[in-house]
Amino acid sequence: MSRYDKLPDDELATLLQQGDELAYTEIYYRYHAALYIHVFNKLRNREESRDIVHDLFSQVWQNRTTIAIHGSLASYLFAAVRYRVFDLIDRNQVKTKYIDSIRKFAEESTVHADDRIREQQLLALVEKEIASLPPKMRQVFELSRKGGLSHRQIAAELNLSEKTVKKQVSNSLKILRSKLGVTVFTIFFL
Amino acid sequence: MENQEIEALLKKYRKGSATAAEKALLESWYLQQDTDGIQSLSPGELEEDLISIGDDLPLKRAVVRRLNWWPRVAAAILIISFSGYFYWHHAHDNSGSARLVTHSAPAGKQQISLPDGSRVWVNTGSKLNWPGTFNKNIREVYLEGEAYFDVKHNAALPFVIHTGSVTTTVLGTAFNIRQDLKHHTVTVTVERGKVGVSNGTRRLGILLPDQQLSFNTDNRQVTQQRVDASLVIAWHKIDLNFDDMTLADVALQLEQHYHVRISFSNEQIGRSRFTGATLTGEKLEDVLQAICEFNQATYRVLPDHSIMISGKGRN
Repeated sequence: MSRYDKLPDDELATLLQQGDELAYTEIYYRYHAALYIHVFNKLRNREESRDIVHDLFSQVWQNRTTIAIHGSLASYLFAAVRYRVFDLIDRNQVKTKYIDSIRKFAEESTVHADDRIREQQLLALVEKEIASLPPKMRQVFELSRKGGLSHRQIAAELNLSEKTVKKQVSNSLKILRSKLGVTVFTIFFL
Repeated sequence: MENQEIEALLKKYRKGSATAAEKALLESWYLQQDTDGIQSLSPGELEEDLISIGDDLPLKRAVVRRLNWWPRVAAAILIISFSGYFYWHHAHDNSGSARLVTHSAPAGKQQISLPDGSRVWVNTGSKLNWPGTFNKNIREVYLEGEAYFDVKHNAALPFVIHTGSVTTTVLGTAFNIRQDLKHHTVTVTVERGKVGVSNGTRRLGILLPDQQLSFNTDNRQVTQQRVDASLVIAWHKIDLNFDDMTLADVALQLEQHYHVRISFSNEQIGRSRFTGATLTGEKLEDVLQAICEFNQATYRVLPDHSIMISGKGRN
């Protein structure tokens, strides 16, 4: 009986497995920004980070019916990008940078076999990553997480560059051009 | 550890054949990788990246607005309706509160014109409730039983019909909803336009003309099929329905409906039985002619404008 944005993750995951596009969309808006920030922190490369998150969501939709989510949806998504990060590192032409870093880490630290990533630990880390965002970026993150605002509104609200706004116009217009979109928008924010 | 070893380790990790210790090493490294690299991006760059991640994904962005509103609206309304509907319903029944207007058709159909120009034909034994005025965001009504809707198009003002737990949302179209309490089904049949049907947040389907959706409220199964909508909605056009009635009773109904007096040349023909229906707007002469043909009778208009049916009757 509740709205998609009020549904808990596990219900969204179930709906996704049934092919519910709206559940998929909600999952996307709930997580794409946090995942992107998380991946960018690892790779410091915009294009690679964008691709990883984009490909993940593309795969999630393609495999929606066969997807096996053990544990929470969040840990599934973050584990999936982690594998993709290692994938990318391994396939990377210039992976020396990462390999050096891993080697240095291996030399300096004592790691126990049970030091594997635990869900709570990972989610706490992501929380920390988001908490450390500068205020403006936090706003972008929060607004895009809600997904209900058009990007034009986000841009206007955050006073972003004209170039950014321009890039968003085609997107936003699609929404705003249809009267219905506007109406529904109003209903949404009743 | 040599670089080659780390490369080999990465390959093992990707293949899923790394040992627990090896996984722990990589994942620990991953965790402690700097967590504020994102600071090197400007808000505008982050915004750009977040937009482009969505490119070509099957997101219901524009459509979210378009379609997602019915679960949203339905949810909002259902919350109101659970408290409000019963309140209004009972308030109306008990005290005639102005909050909810009830049109029930205990015997015979009723045609209702709503202030937005929409028309609703409520079938016999069915009930339509609505708040008396529509608010500026939505047109909503509550149906028990069967009704045929001809909704005035207004893209800015969705028309929502609640039938038990089933929500039907339209912008402007003609369709029929039938709630069968005995078989726990709600059936929506579309004659014209496009109709969305949902149950809570669950989208049951989107129907086009001549499509019919049945939802079983008991086992929550949905069936969809092609039908001839004109047959399903025919009932609303039927004006008078004679189900194996004596001609005397038929005459009584015709008298009331057409404001005429009807008599029989003999009692026997009045006892003949007749089954049939008249369509809205049908002329009395045509109805009489059909009845007479069927019963091998004739009719004539007397000088006082009353009608006399004569014949032997069909035993």
